[in-house]
Amino acid sequence: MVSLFAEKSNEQATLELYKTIQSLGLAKNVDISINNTLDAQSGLLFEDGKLVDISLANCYTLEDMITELIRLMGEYAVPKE
Amino acid sequence: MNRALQLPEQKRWPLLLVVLFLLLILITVYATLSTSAKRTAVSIDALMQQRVGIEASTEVYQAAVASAAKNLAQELDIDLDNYDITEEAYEALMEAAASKFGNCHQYRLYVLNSRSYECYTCKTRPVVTLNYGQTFKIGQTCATKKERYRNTLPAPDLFYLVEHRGSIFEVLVAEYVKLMLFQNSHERRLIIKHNSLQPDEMLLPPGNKILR
Repeated sequence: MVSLFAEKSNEQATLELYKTIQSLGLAKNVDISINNTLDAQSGLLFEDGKLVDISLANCYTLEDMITELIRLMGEYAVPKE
Repeated sequence: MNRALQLPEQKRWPLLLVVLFLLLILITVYATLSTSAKRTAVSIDALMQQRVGIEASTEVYQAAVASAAKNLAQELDIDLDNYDITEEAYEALMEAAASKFGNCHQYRLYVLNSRSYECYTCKTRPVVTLNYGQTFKIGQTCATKKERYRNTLPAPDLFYLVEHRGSIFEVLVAEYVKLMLFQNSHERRLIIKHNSLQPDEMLLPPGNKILR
């Protein structure tokens, strides 16, 4: 499921991105939130050790999404010893 | 009659004049205070109308201001006489609210794809079908979106749109005005018709439980 959070000022851009994401047919077991509200921050939500939601802040295009995803990977990835 | 209390004729008129003069002053002071209180009440309704920016009747804004004052006073444990808010009371409320609640916003949950949604104020059926662009819920919060809904909205295919940012008082007024406007909206009539509901049900958007 894709959840959208937007301000009036960027509503149209967020809706356009929603249409693009819907057309990709993403996996249904992980929710995606595009949060374009003021002061929003990207993050991952885990429940019982499982990833259940990816929240991406300030994304208006697919490029923005990829950039945020890579940044999150860098932030959350723990090197295996 | 006690003769000691009787004044000579020539002294009665000045005393009567003094009494009349004092009465006149009292009436003037009362009239000034009463007009000033009324002007203050009107100016807060007008101020809210200006800040919220939604076209609605003065009566709706007056009801919204009274409702917001009542809710906020209860929340802050402040005693407002009859919730008839004056400028002083409004400022006191704002000061207390700003430190407790911080920045708030009023939002709307729009439907992105046609599907069934729970309807809390429907009497004849538990769910209704909503179409793209229709309102599922109108709300307000002083929490962040993450604190309010975590990362998932209460139902699928919804769009959380921040419609107004401001103090707790402003967003309570904005929420109330929009809920009142929904009651007489073309959108509500369409949902009622499409779902074969009765005209006296679903007085609020389907996702709203109560009008506070």
